[in-house]
Amino acid sequence: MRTFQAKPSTYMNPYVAGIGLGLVLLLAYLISGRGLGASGALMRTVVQAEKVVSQEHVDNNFYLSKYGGDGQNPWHNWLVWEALGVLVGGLISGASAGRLHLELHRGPRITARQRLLYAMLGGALFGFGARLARGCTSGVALSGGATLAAGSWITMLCIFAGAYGLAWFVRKLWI
Amino acid sequence: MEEFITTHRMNPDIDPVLTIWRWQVSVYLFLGGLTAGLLILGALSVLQRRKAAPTAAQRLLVWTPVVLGVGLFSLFLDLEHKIHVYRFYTTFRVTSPMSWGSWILLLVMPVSVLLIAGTMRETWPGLYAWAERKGLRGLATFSEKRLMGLARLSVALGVALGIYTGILLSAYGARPFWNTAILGPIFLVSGLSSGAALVQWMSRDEREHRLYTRIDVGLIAFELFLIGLMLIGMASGPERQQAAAHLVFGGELTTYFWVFVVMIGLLLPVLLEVFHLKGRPQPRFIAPAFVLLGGLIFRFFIVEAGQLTTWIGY
Repeated sequence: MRTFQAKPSTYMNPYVAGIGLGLVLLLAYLISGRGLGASGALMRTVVQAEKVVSQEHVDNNFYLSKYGGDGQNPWHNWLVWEALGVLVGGLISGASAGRLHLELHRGPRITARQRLLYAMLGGALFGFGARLARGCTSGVALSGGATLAAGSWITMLCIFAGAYGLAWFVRKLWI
Repeated sequence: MEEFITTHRMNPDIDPVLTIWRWQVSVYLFLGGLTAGLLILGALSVLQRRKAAPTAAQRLLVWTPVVLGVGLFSLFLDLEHKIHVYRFYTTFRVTSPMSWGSWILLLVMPVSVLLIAGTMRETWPGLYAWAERKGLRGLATFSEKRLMGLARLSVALGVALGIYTGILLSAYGARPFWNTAILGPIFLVSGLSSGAALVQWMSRDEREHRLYTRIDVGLIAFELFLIGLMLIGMASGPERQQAAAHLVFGGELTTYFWVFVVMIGLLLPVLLEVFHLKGRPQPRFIAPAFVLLGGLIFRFFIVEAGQLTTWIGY
């Protein structure tokens, strides 16, 4: 694995990409009647994995049983297929721009292993928070924000405020 | 008190749908097709009489008996009466695809070993030296003298093996989704595509890598065309075959077919290969890995789809 800095010109203009994402969201509502999401797909995958290990445990857990209770397939949901599409779409986008590489972005002071550990820790914290907030930046902030739901805007502001507040403490990971 | 006694339709293995063939058969069909692809491409490379450095297509010949062996082991796991295997070789029935398959498989193994023996002096010098130490030099010399004939025979056997894996299913008249003669050519093209993908992956020579990438793009396009023809034929056939086609046009396997077989297994790798040919750098393994995964997914799909369809309307 190598540290790789792609040429800025190979990325899409962020303003065009933002408008594109907004249109994708609009199309998602139009075609499937649902907005975009990411953490929900991962949560459902976790439920599916738990079902394989112990259906009884899933049935007895109030939260998990809503998604994977006896007879329910957690993957039978729009979010799962949308997330799969995101992965495939990202792969195609990277390949079309010649940016398909195994790479690891990290600051100069930390090792690759530390970077991965902190990424796991950050991901786990965000995943937990996303479940408490009933969605992540995609499901709550983007999709909910587009419908002007007050809770979604508050969540989005809290996510950004939390990130800015924590950034100072973990700045040495990047500089 | 009223009492019901059920006296018919009590075999859950065949009614209401067939549930006999599982992953072992799909894996065997995939590995059989891959063997056919590797054998044909390697033998064609030998027939080109290239004086240059040995090609990956020729080097990969060494894996043909191994891949086929693993596939046959998978098939063996599926057999209910395992010790009855020898009975295939006590007879030959012209009308039985399984009989044809058994004999083709019996021929592919030694012929592929002879082809390896005839090419290993250049492709695997270490293996040649080992064979020499073990007193097998005569085998190599025998094969080298007859290399062109062995290569031609290998192409013929590879085609027979590739087509047979499809005919094995298409001759099964009781299942409308399988009962189409085009399945043989589809499996052959799919096996060739898997073989080309593996050569593309393992090739160290940039020209050969690009050549097999181009070949694979053509093979996948042809495979898509043949699958399209198969579905058109089915959708315009008798009522029960139309019902079989409905399996992928709104029925139970619609998502599986369009998302996994067509998009991820065929369109995605061909798109990645086209980007690569247009000079966009990407890791060498990505497109071939998706081609191979697609080949395996396709076998699982076909085996499942056939078992779900029937001529009897319930």
